[in-house]
Amino acid sequence: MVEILTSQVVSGLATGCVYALIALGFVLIFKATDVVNFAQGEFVMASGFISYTLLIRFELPYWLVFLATIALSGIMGVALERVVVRPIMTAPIFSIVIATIGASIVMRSSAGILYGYDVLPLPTIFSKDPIHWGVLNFTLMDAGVIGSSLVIMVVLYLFFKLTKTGTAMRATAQSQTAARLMGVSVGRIFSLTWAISAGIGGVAGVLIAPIIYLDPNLGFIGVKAFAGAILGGFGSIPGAIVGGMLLGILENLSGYFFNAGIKQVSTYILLILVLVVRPGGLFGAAPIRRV
Amino acid sequence: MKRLLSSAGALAGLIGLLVVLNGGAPTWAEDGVTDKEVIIGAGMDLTGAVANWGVNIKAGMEAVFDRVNDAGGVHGRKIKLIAYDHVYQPPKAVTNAKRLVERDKVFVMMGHLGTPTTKAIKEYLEEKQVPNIFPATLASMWTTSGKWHVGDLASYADQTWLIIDYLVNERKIKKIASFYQDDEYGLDGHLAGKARLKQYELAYVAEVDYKRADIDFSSQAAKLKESGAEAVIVQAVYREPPRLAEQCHAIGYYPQFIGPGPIVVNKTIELGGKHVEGLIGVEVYPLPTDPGPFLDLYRADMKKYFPGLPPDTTNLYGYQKAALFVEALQRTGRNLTRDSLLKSIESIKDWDPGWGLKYSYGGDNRRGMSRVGRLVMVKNGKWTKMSQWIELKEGGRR
Amino acid sequence: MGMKTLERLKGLPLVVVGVGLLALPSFVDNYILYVMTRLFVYVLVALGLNLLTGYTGQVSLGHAAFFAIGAYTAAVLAESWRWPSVLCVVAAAVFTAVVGYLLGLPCLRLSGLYLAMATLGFTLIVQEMLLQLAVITHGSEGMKVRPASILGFTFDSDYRKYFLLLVVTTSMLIVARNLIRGRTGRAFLAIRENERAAEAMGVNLAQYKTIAFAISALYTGLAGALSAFLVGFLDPQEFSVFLSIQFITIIILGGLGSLLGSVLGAGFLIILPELLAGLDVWQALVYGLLMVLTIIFMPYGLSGAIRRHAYRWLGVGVEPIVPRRLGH
Repeated sequence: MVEILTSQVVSGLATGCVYALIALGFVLIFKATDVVNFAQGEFVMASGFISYTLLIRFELPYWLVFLATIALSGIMGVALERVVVRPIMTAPIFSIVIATIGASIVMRSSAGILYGYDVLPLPTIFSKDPIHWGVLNFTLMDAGVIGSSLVIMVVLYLFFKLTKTGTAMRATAQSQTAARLMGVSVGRIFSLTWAISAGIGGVAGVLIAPIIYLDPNLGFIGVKAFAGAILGGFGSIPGAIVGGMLLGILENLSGYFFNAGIKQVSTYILLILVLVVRPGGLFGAAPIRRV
Repeated sequence: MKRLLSSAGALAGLIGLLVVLNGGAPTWAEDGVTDKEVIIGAGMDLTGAVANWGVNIKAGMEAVFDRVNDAGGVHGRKIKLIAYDHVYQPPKAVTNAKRLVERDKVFVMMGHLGTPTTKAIKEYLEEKQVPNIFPATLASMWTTSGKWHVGDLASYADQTWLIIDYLVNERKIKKIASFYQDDEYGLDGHLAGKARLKQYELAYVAEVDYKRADIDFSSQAAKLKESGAEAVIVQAVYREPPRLAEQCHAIGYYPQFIGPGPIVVNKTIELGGKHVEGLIGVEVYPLPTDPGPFLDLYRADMKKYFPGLPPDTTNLYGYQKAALFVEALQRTGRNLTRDSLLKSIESIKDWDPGWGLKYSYGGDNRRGMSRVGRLVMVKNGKWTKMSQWIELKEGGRR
Repeated sequence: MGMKTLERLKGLPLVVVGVGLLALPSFVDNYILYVMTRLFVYVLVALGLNLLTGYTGQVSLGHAAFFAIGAYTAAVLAESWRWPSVLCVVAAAVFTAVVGYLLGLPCLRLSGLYLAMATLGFTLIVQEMLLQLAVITHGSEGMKVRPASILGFTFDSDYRKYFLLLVVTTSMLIVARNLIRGRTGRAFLAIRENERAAEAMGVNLAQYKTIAFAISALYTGLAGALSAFLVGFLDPQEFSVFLSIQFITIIILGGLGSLLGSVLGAGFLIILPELLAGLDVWQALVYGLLMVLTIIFMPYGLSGAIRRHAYRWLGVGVEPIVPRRLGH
């Protein structure tokens, strides 16, 4: 019983880490630009296809593919920001959100046209063989996903805390006007934010695609990650991480104790309960009323 | 302004009522057949949740029609397929059906994809008396729904009965669990299995469901392990069983996995690798890589007309539908009506396109090849025959 | 041309459209009629959602659930309980409104994204209930619904359904128009612009916000009920989060806080895919591109663009004002 429960938690945590990475992408863009990017899940999907192409068609080594995917994914993020978001930066936020929905449709159908709608297996360096370690049952895959996600999160944390660009990004998120007055190029920061978010989405894609396989509809995982971000408190980076992880574990446990239906909605029941008690999510401040 | 709007509304209501009372009576005539052409329609999912099936079935059908048309058509008539995307949504499927029937004036609906989407247009097709030929859904209802619906392959219910019979009689396994997709697709086989087990005075030791988009089956694996099931029937498509097997193996649980037709594709092996070794499936038509003149023709046609699509179970599924349809057209002759087409389908008895399997219709029999299937197992990374083609019992949910 | 004449001419397009809609069935086939009836259904939803999101500033991704509740209530009453169609539709709309009101209560504390997410959760929960309550809803098997009839007169042809939907939609459009021109509408707008100020002016925030939820749900439930009779088949997987996203897309593409926008947005979503139907697998790509381009060139939606041009070139109407943020 204990063994089964721990294995549920570990494998839920692995999925949760991927949710957390995608949720991070949502939150970073939202903090900087007030925009909810509905194409965040599509970054994950697209980067899966990018790494598939590099690995299978160009037969590049895995580490190179990993780095190249993150880079290309980042470029994709900048492209989306420049082409779709920048021209309407002064428009109502909701129009921008709808534009990102349009972009997600374009990305999804492009993948469908280029690669077809069949699922593709993406190779990985992590083995799926079971490991038994005391009461812990898991696969190297789970451990690899959790480990890589944590590394990315630490790197991001250090980037924001220690580098000048990171500080500039945090400043921009606090107040664009103030940041601009301090000599920060807000436009560049915006592009950089999109690049980083898409890059994190790229990591998530490389990690999750070998597990759930690659297909153009992979991006729908973004909806769950979005829920994770809200659960934690949108706009809070630790919130996104904890929210995403919590969601992965909760899903598994409710799937174990109940059925697939309850597994699917448990997240949202918890989410609604949390929001009713804490309208700003677990880690978020209550939304400020602007007068 | 206000007055104008209100009066416009009132006027609309009044005129509306008048026109409604005069009513438009439905008229009917034989559509879609000219001297040179026969137009058939299909509702497909080309961009939605099951787009892989839609795109491939359509291509498979078109490969046959292209070859036939290049050779001059059937009895001088070329076959034209018009397919619209219903995105797997019933309301859109109805829109497409109306467009196909009333605007494009199709002769028949052919290979319509999806159980809910085809259910949504069932009454409409009956009312318009448009035959629903070989819908791309293996739910058991299409072989028993009367004159206008004609099925082709064995339903999930029939296949699940074969699975249960095999497990209980040959393997002497009594502890059987069901892992099923919680929609109409998975339920058809799941409930049929339940019904068959009951006849053996048995029941599933565990019933575990999942959602189509689910990505993690560790909770399902844990439940299956706890039930102590020796065999797990997977009412799933090919992307779930490999992942389920992986996660069962991760917790040291190695049951016999077995499932109906949709898992018998090479993709299952490609995705699952060693984890799907020993997986058993029910095959209702040969693999695209099998030998035989019909399959040679299929591979040649796909290569010629759709070089971008590799031979795959999904497009072979469409291909065999179209080949069977062409055979029916051949038998009908020049005098092509909906009734004469249905009659010639009924006349098909023990017809083998060249792959060792026979289609049989007749009288009320709307089942085609639905009485055959065989068991195959993954051995050394290849689907391997376990039995010859066998007659299936007519399964059901009760 | 004087200002007065132009003002008077404003009604002209309305008359043209009205006559066009009445004459349409004489010229087109059942396919077009069916597309038009689906358009009317979506217009009803868009009106309801726009009252809530566009006018009161509360974002909802829960409207697929309201739509489902309306559809299933009507279907169950008609098929299992054999209620007369009119009662089914009315009961479905009222029941959905009650659900909307109740959902509005806990949502009072939420706004913006958090409200969007909570209502999105509501959509998923309702969709799951449709599957789990198979005894009532027939679960994933789906539910067949026979055509509606009033006093022995059956709306079984596309022709009749068209006029039924035309009449209902037009009436509800007029109701919505009167509503927003009245006291309630002004309260809604005040809430959207500034909650504190609205409160200070004597608007009962909680009351109006929940009322907005109820009215919005009423429209959507009505649309759902009519859609059930129109399509004749209900399947739970249809009422997904993506339907909710479609609904919100309609009102933003059409124009927030604009009745005309609701109509135009619904047109975009329903008619455009029909025009693109021949494009095979390219359909979704072109649709997505058009969506992005529309927003880039008309950031205030279709109605925003029309009004702006009407204002600039003809001097008719007012420059549209849409807040940059909603629900803060």
